[in-house]
Amino acid sequence: MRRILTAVSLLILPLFAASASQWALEQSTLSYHVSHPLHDTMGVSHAARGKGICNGGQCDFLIAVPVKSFDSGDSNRDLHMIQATRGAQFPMVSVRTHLPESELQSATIYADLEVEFAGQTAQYKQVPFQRTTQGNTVHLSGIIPAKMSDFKIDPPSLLGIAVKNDMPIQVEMNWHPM
Amino acid sequence: MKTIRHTVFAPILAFALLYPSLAQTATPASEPSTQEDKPVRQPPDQANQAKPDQATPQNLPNAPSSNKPSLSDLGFPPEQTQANPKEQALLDKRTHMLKIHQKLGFITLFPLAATVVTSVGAGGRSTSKTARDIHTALGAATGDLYFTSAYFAIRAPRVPGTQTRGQIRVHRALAWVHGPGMIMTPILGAMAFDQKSKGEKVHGIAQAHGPVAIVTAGAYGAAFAAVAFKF
Repeated sequence: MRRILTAVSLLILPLFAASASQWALEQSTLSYHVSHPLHDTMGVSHAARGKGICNGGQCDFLIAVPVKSFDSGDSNRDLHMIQATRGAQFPMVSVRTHLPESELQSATIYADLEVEFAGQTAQYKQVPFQRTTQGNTVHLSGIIPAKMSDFKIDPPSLLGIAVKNDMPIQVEMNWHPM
Repeated sequence: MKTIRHTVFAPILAFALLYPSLAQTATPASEPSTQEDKPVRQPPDQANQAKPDQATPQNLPNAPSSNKPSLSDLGFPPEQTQANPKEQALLDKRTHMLKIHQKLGFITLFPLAATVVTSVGAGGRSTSKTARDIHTALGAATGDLYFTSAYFAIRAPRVPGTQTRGQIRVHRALAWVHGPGMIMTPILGAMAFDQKSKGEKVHGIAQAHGPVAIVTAGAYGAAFAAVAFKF
């Protein structure tokens, strides 16, 4: 009986282990774009961290990045951005998504995103991400069609002219299994 | 002994067999695809005002799963994730003061330009007292607006640990040119005005009024352009 139980356990446990997998964000570039009649601005951050947990064929991913880590090349603009987005009060931007594990193999992943930013939560449905693989690394790239009004951010203005409401966020991420 | 073995192994085996299906039940199935070509953006959840790092699971969709990654899993240092209302207040005050600086600085451009234009009739050989008075009045208005605007820039609180980068450096550096220039120009202008009123030819250091004013106006215009346009 003992041998049977051991044999069954040895057969079952690897299956159990295989049913749960984890992903880690290896490298990322997140950039927001803001447009003003006098000039366009892009703020870039490489400080995002992320984790994905897949279990029973379903995956949950979380990516987070400090608001302060975005660099637009001008310290005054960055400080103003932090103020406008209430970045000291709500210092993190987080993106959560839940998708079937099978979706991770698609060339284009359509993700329902829940973005927490500036103390507000906005949901973006079916955001397409292009997926390419290189060895063990999965590269995802896409654009989150964010708007300032989604997060109740008053559009900053320069010389009395406000920036556009659109604030698309370009996402480039490299993930690898843990 | 046999009973003990059964008692220990049986639950382990049952758990191992059942766990994947339990996990699948606990994690709600993903929503069916909307099959829409365009991504649909939903309005923000206005009810959720919680801080990102304090978001409660019940506020989020698919909440029942206990296997979701959390912010604490990502290893950010606490000082990066914790809210700092004091700093937010400092930033709000800073932005408020710099907005006033920006508005007044922009308004200053108009009397400054008018002062430069009226200088043609105020200086040189064939000048009238009226032209000099208009030029003086516009110059005084420019100076008043300039120093009020400068006050808000100087008094705006600094954010500790911030390194100045980008075009704002040019804007700030030029203040070392137009700032002293805005002090010197009216002093030299008053000297020149006095000499002209006495019927004398402008002489001595007062002769520098025009060149100093031109450099000052040029530096001011460049400082404005440094923040208004991207080079």
